Amino acid sequence: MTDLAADLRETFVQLADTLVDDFDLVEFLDVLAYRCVELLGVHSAGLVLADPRGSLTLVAASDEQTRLLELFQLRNSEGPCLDCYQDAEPRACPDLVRVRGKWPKFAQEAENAGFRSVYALPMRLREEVIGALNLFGTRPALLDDEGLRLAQALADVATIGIVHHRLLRRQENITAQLQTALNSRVIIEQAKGVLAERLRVSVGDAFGVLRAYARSNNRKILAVAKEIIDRTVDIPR
Amino acid sequence: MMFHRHDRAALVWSKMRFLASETDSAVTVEHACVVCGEALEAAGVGLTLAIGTSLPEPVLATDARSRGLEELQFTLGEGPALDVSRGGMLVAITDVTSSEATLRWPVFAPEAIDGGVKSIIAVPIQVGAITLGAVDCYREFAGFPSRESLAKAFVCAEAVITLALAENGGPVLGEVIDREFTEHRARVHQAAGVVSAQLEIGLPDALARLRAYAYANDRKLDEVAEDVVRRRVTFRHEP
Repeated sequence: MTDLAADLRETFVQLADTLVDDFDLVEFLDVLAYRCVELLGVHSAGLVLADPRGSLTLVAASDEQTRLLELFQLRNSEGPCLDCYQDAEPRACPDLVRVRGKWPKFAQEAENAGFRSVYALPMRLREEVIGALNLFGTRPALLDDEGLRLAQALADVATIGIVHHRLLRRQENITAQLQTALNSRVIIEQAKGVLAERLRVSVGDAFGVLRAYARSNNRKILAVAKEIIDRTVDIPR
Repeated sequence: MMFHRHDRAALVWSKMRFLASETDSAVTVEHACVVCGEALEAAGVGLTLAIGTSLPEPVLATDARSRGLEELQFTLGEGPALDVSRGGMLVAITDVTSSEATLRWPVFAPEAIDGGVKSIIAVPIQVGAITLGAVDCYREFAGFPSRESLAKAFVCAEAVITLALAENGGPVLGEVIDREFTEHRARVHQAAGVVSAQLEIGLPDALARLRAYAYANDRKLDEVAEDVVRRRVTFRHEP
């Protein structure tokens, strides 16, 4: 296996490994940007992701120059990256000179930075578009068809990884929310029983004591209830 | 009749909305359970949810028999809801009088039979890979439900999650629990607290002691709980 093939394999595995507890999105996209430069032979790469409302933010860039250029696109609401995200279609600009009419501000800024070609690829899974991967070259026609296909494949794997990670987090949140709602009630009832026995009072009176204690100590009833059960608090009559 | 996925969901939700409109209320978890029962031609339905401890908690039921059977599962530590919570898959016992059922639930099955139940379909409530609980559907005839009925039942189970979460993200399940968390269930957990303090053991052990006592004395758990809370029954260290 050639070095490139081995690197590719390793990269795809890295990009797929997102269902871990310590997953860090920014670090993940930094890796993707770096790998794109390394594997595709482009000069630099930038990544933008949409927030829940659909506004794009720059999340990763392989160098400072590229970072500034991406920010320029977003600030001026002009550039292949934005069009790519909006239409969920690739925007290949093998020659920036030819797109001066379409994105005048962007083309100027990019040329000033020394770039001659730009490729924007959608990060998309079925109907969901989460952002865009942008590749920059210092000479025209930097990426051929095969390079473009590979770049899109990298973007696709990363997208699947991110979508799955988000889904998992959402499922965990939902589960925790629902279980907490029910468990809280159980804990409070248990605490009433424990306190009733300890103070030799009725369950109703025990709850009164619990509630008064929580109030006068400015604490939540549930927190106090947990401590009663764990015996970390002793409530006098 | 073959249903397209979207048509099926639309039909199920419209049934839930219709039920809700009859009492002029919003669609709730209870409506999802009722429609689930209708889809599976059940005589009664119970909802049990996992709360992160060893035993899932009976939350609501459409009738007294179903409530009794849900609570019995909790007392015995055996039954369809528990199997679903552990295994994450649908449990369908098509004939409660069969030896399969008795092997699976040696104490629960006879009780279900006594109650007039002939088959039980327990539908898992799932969030991704996590099984949150089960909708237990008790039927008065033996047999396996059709594929379409099961598909509708699964839509109802998904709806339980959707309905338990309010639109702004806060759980509406809390309100359902406040409404449905009956005196019986509250008593059971209060009694566990009392026993825990009497024997100076942890809550899970105290609950196990209560359940064992109920089983050994052939009594309903909530009746034992009532006695414990009223100090008619006390647990003491063995001398």
